[in-house]
Amino acid sequence: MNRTKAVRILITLLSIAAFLPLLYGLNSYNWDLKALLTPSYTPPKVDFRMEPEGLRFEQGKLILSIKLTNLGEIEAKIEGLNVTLYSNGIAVATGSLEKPVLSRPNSTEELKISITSFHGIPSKIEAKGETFIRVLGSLVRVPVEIRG
Amino acid sequence: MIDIKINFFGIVASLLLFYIILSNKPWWILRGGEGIFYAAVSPFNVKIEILGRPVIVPIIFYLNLTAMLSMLLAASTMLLGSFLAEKEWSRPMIGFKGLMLPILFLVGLIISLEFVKNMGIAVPLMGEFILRYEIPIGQGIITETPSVAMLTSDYWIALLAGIISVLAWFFQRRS
Repeated sequence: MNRTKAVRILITLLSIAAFLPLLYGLNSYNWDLKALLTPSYTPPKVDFRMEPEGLRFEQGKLILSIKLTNLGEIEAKIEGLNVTLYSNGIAVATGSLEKPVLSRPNSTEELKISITSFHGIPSKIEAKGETFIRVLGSLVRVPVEIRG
Repeated sequence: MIDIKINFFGIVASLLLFYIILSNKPWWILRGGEGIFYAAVSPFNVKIEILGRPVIVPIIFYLNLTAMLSMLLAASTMLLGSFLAEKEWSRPMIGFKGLMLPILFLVGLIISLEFVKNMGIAVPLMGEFILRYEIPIGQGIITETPSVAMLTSDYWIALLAGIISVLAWFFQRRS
């Protein structure tokens, strides 16, 4: 056997040996390829609760106060909240968030919804709309339904 | 006077290969928002995070180790073969595995991005973009994430090392 051939064989053997970690991995997982390919991920808890506190007049404006509780692990900034208030299924008023609110994990904040046009004050709050939340630089649009 | 024939291209290519293996820097980066998601990918290391939490695929670690050992072997044999250019038996030491890896990496990345696209997530290979994704919960939660994807300078260095290793292979054949 000439030297060139010997070198070629040696390099081929070493190249095959480089795949040993893959064989070791397969062996560690009892040759269960599915287990080796399955991603594992534990997402952080995301849990926001909205509860209406009631309607009140503040500086000549009708304000719908909503208690926002962040029970999750992620900080979020409520940048907008547009709602329509209903009374017995009929739209009676619309409102939007007065100013952005930063919601930190395990904290409760008040969301002030300024009611801009109303044709009556509902006795029971039923609001539907959507909220715009900034989470880690991403804008999230979430439909909301508030009853109370 | 001592006349030693060396393969200059091989030495340069192997040193570049050693650099890209040992620097352990990503070849491709995908970043969304301010920590919504992050991926730093190279054949030797893959790091994926969603909402600041790691995503772990067990096989990736073993694949990275295999790629690292293969490239260390390729770089070592090329360096040795380059100094032994005069010896005929050094020819098999100079290969172009160095070029295969950046090409396979790019092909793999394009295939992966096409696969992700079929899942409704369109991510370009390079550039800034807004990633729109609808989470099918309730009436649907729509997310818009300013994102950026890029091939890093380390990828281009790896490609350059690969091209130089092909030149080294030609040089070794001719000598």
